[in-house]
Amino acid sequence: MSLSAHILLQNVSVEFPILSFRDRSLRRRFMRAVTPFMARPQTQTQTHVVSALNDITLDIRAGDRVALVGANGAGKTTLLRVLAGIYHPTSGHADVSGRCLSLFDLAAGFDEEATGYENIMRRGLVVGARRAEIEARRAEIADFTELGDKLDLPLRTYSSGMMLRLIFAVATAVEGEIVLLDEWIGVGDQQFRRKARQRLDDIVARAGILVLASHDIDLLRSSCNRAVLLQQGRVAATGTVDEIIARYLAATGEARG
Amino acid sequence: MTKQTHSPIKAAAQELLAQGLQFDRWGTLALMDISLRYRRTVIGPLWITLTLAATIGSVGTVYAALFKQDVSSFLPSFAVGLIVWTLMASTLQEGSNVFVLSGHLIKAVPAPLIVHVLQMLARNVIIFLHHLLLVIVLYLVMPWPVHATMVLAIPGFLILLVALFGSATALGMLCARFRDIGSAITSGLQFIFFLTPIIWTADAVRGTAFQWLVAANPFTTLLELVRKPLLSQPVDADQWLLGLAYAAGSALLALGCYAKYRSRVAYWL
Repeated sequence: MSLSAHILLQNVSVEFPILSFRDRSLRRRFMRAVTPFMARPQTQTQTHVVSALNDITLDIRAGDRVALVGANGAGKTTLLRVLAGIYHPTSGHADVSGRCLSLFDLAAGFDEEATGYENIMRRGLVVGARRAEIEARRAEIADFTELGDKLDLPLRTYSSGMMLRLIFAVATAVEGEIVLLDEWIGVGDQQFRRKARQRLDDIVARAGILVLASHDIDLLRSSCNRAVLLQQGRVAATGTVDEIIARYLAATGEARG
Repeated sequence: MTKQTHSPIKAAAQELLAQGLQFDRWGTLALMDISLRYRRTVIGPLWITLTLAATIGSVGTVYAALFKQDVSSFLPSFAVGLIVWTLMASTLQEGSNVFVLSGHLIKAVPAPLIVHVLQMLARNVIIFLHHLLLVIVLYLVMPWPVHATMVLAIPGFLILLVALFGSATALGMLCARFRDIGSAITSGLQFIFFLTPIIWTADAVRGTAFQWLVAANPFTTLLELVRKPLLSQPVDADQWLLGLAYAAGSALLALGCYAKYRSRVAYWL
């Protein structure tokens, strides 16, 4: 297990400007700038801002297996994207040390027309691996998919199960000190599912930090050792997995009742 | 996401340089893009070259007749001009969409934004290299004098590439924020095409009121830095300096935009 991994979030907020078509138009800005102040229409469009994350402060250290719990739209995925470095916080500081392996949106970068082997190369390059590195791991990845000669066929001829095998094999070919998971990935038929589960377990076991966003309560209980409850972009509570899940279920129960 | 220990400009410059040197990454992606786009065709990207050849052959001879030009001098100049113009126009046009079109990727995978620009530029250069075949064919059909200064087309081309790279990066960011600029670019480029000596020659306006149009048009300067050496014509020193200034200006603009807005682009997509 890697001990160097560390995540420190200090008052992190993420706000999305909602750029409606009008706001996006340069012409409109120009017109507003050249219209005399008195003649301006009173109904000025304001820039709408949706705050996806609000004042998040978290300290995650090596050995932590963090469960992100919360309803849809609570900010789980946005938080994972901040950790991955896709969104830079609008305010506050995000300090992530350690190589991140973000296991979400795994199909991004794949091309329908390209063959399985070409897609291994493509996705590898997209996530930042060097060409030689990918070529060295190609056989190993191909082997894991058990797709054999079919890897020479274009992706559009694949069944969804075959596609998932390839996507999973490519995504998990590299390891990271920090593993970010948006729902556990379960793929393929019974036999492959076991194999995938085994590989993911290994990766998680070797990683310093796991951050897992999921609604699967049994999974969270079995794989995490602390939990964060997100509500409307804020950290509503942190604690042990059982505490937080109990709180989350109580809250959703109230909402339903 | 390391703590900002040094200036944002320096950090942006380091990222640009580091990614620019990873030729295997964006170069391979660009090659794959092209091979995938033409996967089910026989002659592949040469289709665009053929279209261009047809344009050069038909329009070139007609305009030579219209402007009472000698075909053997007008056609090579028109051909090289159109080929370089195609590179400039398609890079700027694709550049203005580069981040919008890779939106899903930018939001899915943490990767430096500039990779998308480098990949797009490499793609267009590969297509340009296909078009160079036409220049070779033309040279065999109607040879013009060979001169050692022909190799100057290479530094000229590099200057052009830097200028295109810089403007594409800045335009891409601007268009991610303001979506209507993309359409403005498309129509603006059509307009600029007629203001650039491609279907007419710079000699034709010498001494007229339109001479300043040629002199002040950056597209003319950058185009001539590639075209004139290729046609074994001399390029004035001030044109080289002007070209360098355009390249430096656009590189600085790109660096500034990249330092200031690269972390915002994901929010605009």
